[in-house]
Amino acid sequence: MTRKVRGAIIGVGETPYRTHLEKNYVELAQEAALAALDMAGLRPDDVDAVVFSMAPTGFVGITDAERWAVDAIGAVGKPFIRVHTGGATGGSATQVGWVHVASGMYDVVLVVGADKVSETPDTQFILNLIWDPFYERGFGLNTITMAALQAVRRMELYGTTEREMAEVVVRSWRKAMRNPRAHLKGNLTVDEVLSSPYVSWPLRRYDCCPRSSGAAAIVIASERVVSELKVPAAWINGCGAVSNGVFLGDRMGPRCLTEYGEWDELRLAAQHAYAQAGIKDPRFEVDVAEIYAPFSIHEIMGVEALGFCDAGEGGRLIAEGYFDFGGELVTNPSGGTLCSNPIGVTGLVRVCDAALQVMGRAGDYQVPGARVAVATAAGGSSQFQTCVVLGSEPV
Amino acid sequence: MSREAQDESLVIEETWNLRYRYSSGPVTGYFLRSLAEGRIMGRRCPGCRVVWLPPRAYCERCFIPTVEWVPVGPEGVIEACTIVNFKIPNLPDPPYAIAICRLDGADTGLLNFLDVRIDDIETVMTRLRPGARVRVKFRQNRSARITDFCFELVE
Repeated sequence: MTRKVRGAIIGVGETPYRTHLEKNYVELAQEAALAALDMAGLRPDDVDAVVFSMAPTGFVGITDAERWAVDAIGAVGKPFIRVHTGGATGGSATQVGWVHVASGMYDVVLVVGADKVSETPDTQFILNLIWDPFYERGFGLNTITMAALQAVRRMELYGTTEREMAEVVVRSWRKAMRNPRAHLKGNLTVDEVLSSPYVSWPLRRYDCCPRSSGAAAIVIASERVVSELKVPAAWINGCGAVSNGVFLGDRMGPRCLTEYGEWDELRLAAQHAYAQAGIKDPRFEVDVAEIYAPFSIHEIMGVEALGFCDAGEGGRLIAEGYFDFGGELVTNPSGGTLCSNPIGVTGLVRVCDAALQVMGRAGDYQVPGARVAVATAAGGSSQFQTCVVLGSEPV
Repeated sequence: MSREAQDESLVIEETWNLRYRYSSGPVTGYFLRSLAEGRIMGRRCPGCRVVWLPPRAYCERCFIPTVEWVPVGPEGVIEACTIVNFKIPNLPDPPYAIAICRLDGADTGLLNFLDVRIDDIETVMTRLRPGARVRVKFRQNRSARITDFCFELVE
């Protein structure tokens, strides 16, 4: 199956990411939507369809809050669809928006979302609700413990160390200092990370993402519109997505098809995306990767699943600074999900930050000469993975 | 969590108290009733022979109905275990251990508490690595719930 029409991101809008933002939910979505349209040189009237990115609305406390946002984002009179794949939502929403354009049926699609996580102190309780009440809800499964169990498997498979995980945190926070929108940033040391208390072994407090409020938006346009407008474009050259079942225990043991300690789902999604984009060896052909890694262990899993290094080498390479600014392939120049996590939108933020790189618009966190960027998103019971490959040239 | 800037806007407070009656379905219902009888039952696929735990009414690989109940355990191995060290409402006070264990006779891992004395987290975790042998420990008074049993180390 091939696309009919090429599509590119021509506008990106992002709010700052912090615990508490004064605007209400729809005002945040509007801020990002208008910023993206402004960059594209378009108005709300120019948009043909709107895709809304939002994960559980329990944090906001308004079920299906996207309905409230419809008029604020200029969607009145147009087709409107919400996408929800947990943390992968923004990546899936990008995929849906792109398919609208790639089908040849829509020329300009706005993909936008917002999240407000400070409306409730009960976030952990709400996150725990995604598991069923019969088998798994009662045990404190949540994003933190799920990531901890992945780290446990990794340590067993490859000898990944707490120090390697701490290096991910230190380098992410340092990168985030270049990003005015990042929630967490600063000069942490490995010793500071390693002396923070365990939240779920082996993850310590600093190994975990913040919960952030914020919004993000992209405008995807068909090649006809891009050539008319003559604006910088991030061409969507590849887009893959893979899902897995809900039970973590299915991904362990001799008869498992995917191993929980690897991101096999991302490996598969990336292979699909790379094939579409004509990328044969990602470690040499990709310049930037915005990897959805809400916990330190995930960047280690991500660089391997994306084919940037051999299995088991991710932790060592990150700790040696291989993926820092100045290298051939920079991971999370924005600071990534470890530094900002507006849950329902974070996958879209990864796409935004990757798009800005190949458009040459990433400001202080621009990787010089970036022409190929990858953006990933992960969600559900670590079961949804998306991978988008962007380029400064169309394929 | 501290606010970074004083909010000038008006704040409205609300608390939800929602009630649910969750219907288990026949397969989960049989599994839970078996727990009350002190048995853990997996479900085997006639095609690929995988014994699923939690049990499924159909095999997720072959897309055919499962037909056979298979008793599993009472021992098995830890596939992954962590010690939780933060408080979630309605869940136990930390620290406590949760583990996904693959019981003898089952092909997939099942999640439950792992009952172990926790003084120093790092020290205890050295005994809770993948591959450590565990056994199922049933409560005296059972109520057809997944918490009718937990895991403990075979020392």
